Amino acid sequence: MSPLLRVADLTVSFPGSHDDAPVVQGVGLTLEAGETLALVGESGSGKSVTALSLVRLLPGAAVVSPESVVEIAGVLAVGPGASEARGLRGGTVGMVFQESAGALNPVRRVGDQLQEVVARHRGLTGGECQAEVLRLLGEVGLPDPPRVANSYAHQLSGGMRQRALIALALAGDPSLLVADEPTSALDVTVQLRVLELIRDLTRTRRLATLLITHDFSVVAHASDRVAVMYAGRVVEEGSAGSVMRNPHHPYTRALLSALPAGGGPKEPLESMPGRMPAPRERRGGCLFRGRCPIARERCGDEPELEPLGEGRARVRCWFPLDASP
Amino acid sequence: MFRGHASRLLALGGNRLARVGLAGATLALLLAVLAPFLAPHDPTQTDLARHLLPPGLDHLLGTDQLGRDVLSRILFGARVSLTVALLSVVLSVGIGVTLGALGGFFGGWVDGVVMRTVDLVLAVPRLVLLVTVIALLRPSVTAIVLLLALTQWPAPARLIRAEILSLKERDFVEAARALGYSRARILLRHVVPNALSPVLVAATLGVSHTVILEAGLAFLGLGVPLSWGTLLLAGQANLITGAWWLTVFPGAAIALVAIAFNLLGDGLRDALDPRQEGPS
Repeated sequence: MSPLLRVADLTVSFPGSHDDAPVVQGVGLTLEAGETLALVGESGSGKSVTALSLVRLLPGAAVVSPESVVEIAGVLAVGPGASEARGLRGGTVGMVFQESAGALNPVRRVGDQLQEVVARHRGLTGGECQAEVLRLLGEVGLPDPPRVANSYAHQLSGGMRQRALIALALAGDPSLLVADEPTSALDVTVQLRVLELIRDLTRTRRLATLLITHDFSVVAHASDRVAVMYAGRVVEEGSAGSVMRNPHHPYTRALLSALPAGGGPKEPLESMPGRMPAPRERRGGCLFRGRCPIARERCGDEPELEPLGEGRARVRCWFPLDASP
Repeated sequence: MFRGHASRLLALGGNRLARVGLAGATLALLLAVLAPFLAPHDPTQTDLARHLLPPGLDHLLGTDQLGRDVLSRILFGARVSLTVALLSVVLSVGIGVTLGALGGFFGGWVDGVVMRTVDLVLAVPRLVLLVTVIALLRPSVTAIVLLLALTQWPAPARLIRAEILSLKERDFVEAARALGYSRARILLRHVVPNALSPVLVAATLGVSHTVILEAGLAFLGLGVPLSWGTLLLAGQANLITGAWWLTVFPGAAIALVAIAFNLLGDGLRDALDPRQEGPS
């Protein structure tokens, strides 16, 4: 069976800025139903551009190169002869944005906004439609669905808004859920609950969930697999547990060691020297070599994203750490 | 099921002055509509034997120089003045909202055409244009309504364009795109409703503004018979003879209606913004 989401050779550039250099280059991902893939990276790594380009929501200036392919639930969304992406949005593909305060329409009641999606993508009307709205609000764990349906966005707390936004993404009965930094604007305690919700929904609804984040604790809580992006490329991809326990790419390791370890002795956190190269500076070779503690001459050639072995992580590095099984 | 705006609108946010405004505006409209039933006399019936009577029991607001009942003339005059004001505001807001929304949302050459037309209309001195054209066309309700609308639409157009320029960058518009809505639907269902409250407020205030403007035109002799401004014009000739009721009462009608719509407009501004509604 083909995966629910297949991305291959995705390359996106913004002509006129960055000397036309791509901000996302050759990204390939696959995602099965019932599985969560976290796309991790710092600002400017291209993770959000990757997510938005799945349903062609990029700003008008963006150019997706012709060899790029995105296939969602057997439908070609990006690529030669791709169908109208708008048909996928809200239906097959549900999106959850970071700023729940801004992503809900401020002058329309939450229930009305949900009803619009349910009516449009599922063709339900009248009482059936209202019942479905209340069911969705209940499904995302909101107490007292009728009251929430009657509320405006500003009358809900941040966590409730984020749940309402997830309900909105689910209203079209999607098979792919794209969540772009869904918890970054929330309190830590609420973050955890929302992540649990996304994880549970992924299981119960057999969603394929793409979780965009910069936060490894989000990866640990909610994802099965993780793809680490750096400077527009995937540099390491594997199961979340193994990548976090045993990172093979020097960048992944540096990211993880910059995380505070709870409860341990107070040692200074490691920081990474240098900065990520801007798109126009990304020329040839491994893009991390300028900051890499183990860079050698060979790193002037660009490494491929290669699996370390059967069923193991894929790493874009000539000298992967702890490569032996 | 999801409670609409109506209840909140009518409550006017508990603003007492706004309720006075709503009551005044409603009363004015009712009096205008029911003028044929309420007016004690025929507003055009002359009776030279009873001319220039001061306010009294038979003629509550007195009579004019031809013996016509002032109260009846003001009641029927309300029909003319309010029709002109409401129609021209509805028309100008309709034109302004449509063009301003299209320009703001689609930008580019659409915006260019709309905004240059706005500049063009604003570049012509309005009073001079109105006086000239109405003098040429001869005053009629249709002519005055059309001219007022065609010279007043730039204000709502600019207002809604500015609103939409900022609204279309908001996340919920992006979210609406992510939900697969068409551009037309996003504009009509998601962007424009967010921009309407200032326009409704401006329209309500515009009614009071237009009542005064129309009275001013009529005072210059460019009014429709019976409009409040025309009554005022006719009355001021008799002011010197001491017949104050011919100017004071039409003038008071104009002022009261203008104040009522102003208060209502301010109240709507507060009531229409759901962001000001407290936690439920």
